[in-house]
Amino acid sequence: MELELDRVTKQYGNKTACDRISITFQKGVYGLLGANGAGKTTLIRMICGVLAPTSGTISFNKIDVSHEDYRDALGYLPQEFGYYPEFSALDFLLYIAALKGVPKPQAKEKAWELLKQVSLEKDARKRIKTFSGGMKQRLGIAQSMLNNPQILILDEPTAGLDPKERIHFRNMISCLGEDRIVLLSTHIVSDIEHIAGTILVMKDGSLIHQGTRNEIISAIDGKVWECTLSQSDAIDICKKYPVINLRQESAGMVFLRLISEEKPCAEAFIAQATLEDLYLYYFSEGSEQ
Amino acid sequence: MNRNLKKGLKSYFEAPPPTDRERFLKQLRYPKTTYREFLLAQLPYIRKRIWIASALIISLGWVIAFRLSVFQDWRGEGLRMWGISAILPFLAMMTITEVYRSSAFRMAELEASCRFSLLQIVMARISILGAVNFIVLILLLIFNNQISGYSLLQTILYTIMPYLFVCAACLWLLNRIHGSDGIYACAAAAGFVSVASILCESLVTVLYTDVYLNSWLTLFAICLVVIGFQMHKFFKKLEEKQWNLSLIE
Amino acid sequence: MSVDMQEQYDKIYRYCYYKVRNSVLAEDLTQETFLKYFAQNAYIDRGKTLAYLYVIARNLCVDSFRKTQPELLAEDIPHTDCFEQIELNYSLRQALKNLPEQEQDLLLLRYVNELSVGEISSIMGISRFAIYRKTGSAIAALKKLLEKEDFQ
Repeated sequence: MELELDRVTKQYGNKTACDRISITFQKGVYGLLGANGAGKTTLIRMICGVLAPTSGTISFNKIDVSHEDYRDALGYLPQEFGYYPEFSALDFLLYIAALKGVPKPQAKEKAWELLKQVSLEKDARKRIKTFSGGMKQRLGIAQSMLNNPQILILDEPTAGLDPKERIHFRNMISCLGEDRIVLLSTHIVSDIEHIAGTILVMKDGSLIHQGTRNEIISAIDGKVWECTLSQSDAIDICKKYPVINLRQESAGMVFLRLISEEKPCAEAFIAQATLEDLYLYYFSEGSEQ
Repeated sequence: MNRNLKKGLKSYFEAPPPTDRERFLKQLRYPKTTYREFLLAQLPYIRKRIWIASALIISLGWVIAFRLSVFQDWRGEGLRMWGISAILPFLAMMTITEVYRSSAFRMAELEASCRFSLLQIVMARISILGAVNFIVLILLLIFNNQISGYSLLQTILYTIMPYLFVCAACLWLLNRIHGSDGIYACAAAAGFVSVASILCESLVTVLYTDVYLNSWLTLFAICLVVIGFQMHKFFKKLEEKQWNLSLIE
Repeated sequence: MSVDMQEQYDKIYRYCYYKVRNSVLAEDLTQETFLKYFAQNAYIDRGKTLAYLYVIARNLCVDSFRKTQPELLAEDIPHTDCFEQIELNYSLRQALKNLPEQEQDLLLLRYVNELSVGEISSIMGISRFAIYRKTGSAIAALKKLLEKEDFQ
């Protein structure tokens, strides 16, 4: 089971949304991390066959992305999706199942099974119009699994889910990752931290980093510092370095967690780096706070 | 058949439990539907309003042609035909907006990633709706032919012109305006043409004379060209998936 | 996975096991049956479904006999530690063993796998009347045997 991207590029006029992205996916959960506008959604759309690359190839087990059989193995949850207004949740699933070529008897069975899995059974016959954001998102997740796909692509899947739903979702994805390729694109760092086996970091259209959580974090090992300073000192420090966390402590002291190549001040000491720190390191250059 | 016997039989034929059932069934891939089955499956997803509108248009055409005893003279003939042709734009508009549904309701992206992708869905819709339109047009042409003394060419031209005109306009609009705004624009275009037709009814006598036949033919040709060109553009966009992201939104 | 599919899997497996007497082989044949079945798009109505499934299974079992001598297959030692094998009346067991193969097939399909007579007719290629007759007489004979046992 191999999904291969070879120098995939997408250009709109002068703007390059994706620049020669090459990567091979295998079974497991992959997290695609990047700021908004970094080219994540463009890349995802190309992998899903929704957008054609300007150059480069995408293939799954040697089947090219433009082929019907490729889409047959694919399940996709777009960042935003609509629905025909007369549809109930069940209607929606059956419609998508028909588009995925799932024969009617299996479609019905699978639809109910998935509705149960995402806890929407009771609302199956209600119109989607009446659904909350979280419910709609769960429905979206359900539809992506209708054809039992070998590649599952989820674009910002936990947007709109409350903490309980988010945890349930994470567990579901971890299970699914056992026998298929799952690509999770999000800027919610904690999602990726909890379930992704391999993390891909994308910035300005390129893959700048790729590896397990620890491998990725090693890039900022020794660059995360913590210190507690007086108000005025803190203000100085804030001007010079990207600050991850700022907390007012007692007696007018301020706790800071920040990123810096070298020791920012005498009182600082090194802290254990996390993925969130890395996100800030890559994606907030030049930003003041 | 007593219970002991049944138990006995069950025991005799019992097998040690299978070990690989779960894994096997989980990865079992079902055969997929064929394109024909897919086409038929799309039929119920064409909204009822299309069928209702088609039936309504046919009945209205029938009424205007054969029942309105108000228009009995020659002038009336032309008027009846004018009336029939004035209601056809709505058929055109409804058909085209139905085909473009995916874009209007932001389903296009999801549909594009499925096995039977957007192009095929649109083709399926066009096939079904095209057949329906064709039937409606033929019927109305027959009505018109029955009631009027015009030549076949004239009948066809006069009846179909507003329809073609609105088709061309809608296609042109939808290639430029995306999403549900495009749909509203089409409705406006259809309404405009229809109303204009009705308001200009006094010109019927004049416009239907042979003097203007060439103008009609020219207009007819222009509409066909525009339609052809816009459709080509639309399909090219779908096939090459050179969508601007805004098309999908 | 749906309950229906699981049930079918078990039933076909039971059928194959009865034919080849080896659990590993039986499961392989079961899986091959399903794969072959789905390769041919025949998922329409229940009657046709099941009959066709069994026909494939049966042909695969027959083919596997042709490939390897039955004696060389390690016959499973009867699992006396599972289910009610222990309870199974010895003479009943013998009687069943002595029934002609076709009758045993019929009993399995009709009373254990619970197929309809119509389905069995399609699978085995014998008339419904014949099925009623054969299963009827087999059951009657077995009943008699059990009753006799009770008196002893």
